[in-house]
Amino acid sequence: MTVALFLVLTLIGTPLFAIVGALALQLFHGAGISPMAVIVEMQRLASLPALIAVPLFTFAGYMLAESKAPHRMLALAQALFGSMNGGVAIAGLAACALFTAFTGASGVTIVALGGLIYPLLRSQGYPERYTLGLITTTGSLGLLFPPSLPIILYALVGKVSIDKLFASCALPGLILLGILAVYAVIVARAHRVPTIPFSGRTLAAAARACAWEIPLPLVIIGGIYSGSFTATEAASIMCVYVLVVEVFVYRDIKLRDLPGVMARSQILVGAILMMLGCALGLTNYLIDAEVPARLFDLVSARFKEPWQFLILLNAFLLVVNMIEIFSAIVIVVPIIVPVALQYGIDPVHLGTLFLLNLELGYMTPPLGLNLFLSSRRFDKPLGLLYRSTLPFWLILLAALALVTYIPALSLWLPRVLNLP
Amino acid sequence: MTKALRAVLDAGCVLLLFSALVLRRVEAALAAVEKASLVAFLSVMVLLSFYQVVLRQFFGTGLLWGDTLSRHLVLWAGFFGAALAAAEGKHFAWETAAASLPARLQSPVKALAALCCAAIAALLARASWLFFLDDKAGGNILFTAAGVSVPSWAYSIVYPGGFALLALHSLIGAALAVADAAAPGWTSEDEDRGAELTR
Repeated sequence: MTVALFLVLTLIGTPLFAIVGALALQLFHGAGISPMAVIVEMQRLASLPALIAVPLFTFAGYMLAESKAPHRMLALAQALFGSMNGGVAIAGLAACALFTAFTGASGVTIVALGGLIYPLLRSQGYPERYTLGLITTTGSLGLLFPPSLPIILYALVGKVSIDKLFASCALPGLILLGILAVYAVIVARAHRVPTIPFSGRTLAAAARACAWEIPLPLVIIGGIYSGSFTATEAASIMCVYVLVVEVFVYRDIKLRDLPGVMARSQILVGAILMMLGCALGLTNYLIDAEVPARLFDLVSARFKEPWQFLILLNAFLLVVNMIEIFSAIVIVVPIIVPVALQYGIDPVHLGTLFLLNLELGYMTPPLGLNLFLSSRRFDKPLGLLYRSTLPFWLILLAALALVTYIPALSLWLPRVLNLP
Repeated sequence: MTKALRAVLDAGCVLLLFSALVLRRVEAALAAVEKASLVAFLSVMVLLSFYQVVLRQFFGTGLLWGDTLSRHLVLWAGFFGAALAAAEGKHFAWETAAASLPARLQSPVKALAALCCAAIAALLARASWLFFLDDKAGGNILFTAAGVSVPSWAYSIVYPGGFALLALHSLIGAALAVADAAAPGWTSEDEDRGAELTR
């Protein structure tokens, strides 16, 4: 009865935070606990030291997205890679990865950069299907690079160090980018896509145009990996830097438009925080009721080996993430982490494969979010997008298998950097 | 008889549409206040956290209460952001099923979803009120800055207040969706209601 009610609530499109909150209220009520408990759990949010990174990174990302930084970045990438076989596609990949990482991976990449990259690749002679597939994939490419919001959220919820998770995701992210670049070269060769002759002057002009933005990834990513400042401090520095550069140096964002950008960025933050706050109540109840332990007993009775559990987890996450990535993280992570720990899986490795898994989920038919965004953005039928993304989907699946079954890929860099 | 009935129905319809227009105005005014507060909170967060970084990196010191205040401001800003998200229909929801319904069913279903959200937000506001009373009775101090002690309840008032705002926006959303079902396209000039609120 209750299950049916919550199912109906979900189907009619009731906001997920309300459904999760209602579920938490209902469970606490059933256990004879005051509804206050839900808020007590929510209050825990205020004690998370890294929480401030969420609004700051989001605000900075929104400023970048609304400035002309994407244009400048793409021009620079094109000037750098255009003379290679498949170079323009690689430029698109690199620009999207960077842009997604810096804008919080909330689907803005397809909207902001897709409109630039689609005509660019088509005019170069790349086939339509490849172009659509690439853009749909790049919508979440970069999710594994700092300062991506899903990584921060995972670290907050899964209780691992943000800096460590940033480091563990980097190598898998680069490997994925590398495989996609190789694929771009193969497609470019097969379709005889011409290269753009290298011009030192164009490169210099493109570099000069984003002279103020080039230091940003270096400072933020370098600062985090070298340990000179924490992710929270990086968020604060990036926020002020982007504000000064985009508003006062480039003047892409007018001062009077700034409140609007602030409000829009905090709307996303508010939606995430509500989800997170309500999910804390629910998951805390489930943990008190020893659901993870029971889940472990249930699963481990059938699947003894960690690799069997990981396959199950991979498949489960693909289905779950089709709902929505932030919600998937805040609800699933607290339940799954204790189970995975009992299988002896390293929490940082788990976080990395979890995030890559979510990245794949973004473009998994039939409900992956990127497919819908692309379909809407380019006015193409979903069926065409399913077919176009298939090769990319298989590449990501292979990368996921590598990351899942070779823990060293995730654990090597944090160890080398000697992060706490 | 039928004539009289129709007149009553027409009058009802006009009243509904008129109140929808008034509701839109009320919501826009409310959203403007929320937006202004949100901008203020975020600005303080940005400046305060940057000041802390400068203090720490260059002077090896920091404000003891700075991080506490910032963290709590995140939730204040978060609740106002969430209220605006409710006004603009930007909360995460599973929309695939509802979007595939026939056009004439969409507004009623939207109204129902918004009504459910309002009801749940009201329940959460009640739970938060209990929490707030408890917090106030406890007499905890959040932090002390420049000799002024900020009581914990001055912060936790955001929970009942925030959820009440969420409930209010959802309720207005439900009412507007009902008006839209009665006279399609009359009250909503664009598909996402209130997209202009933050412009």
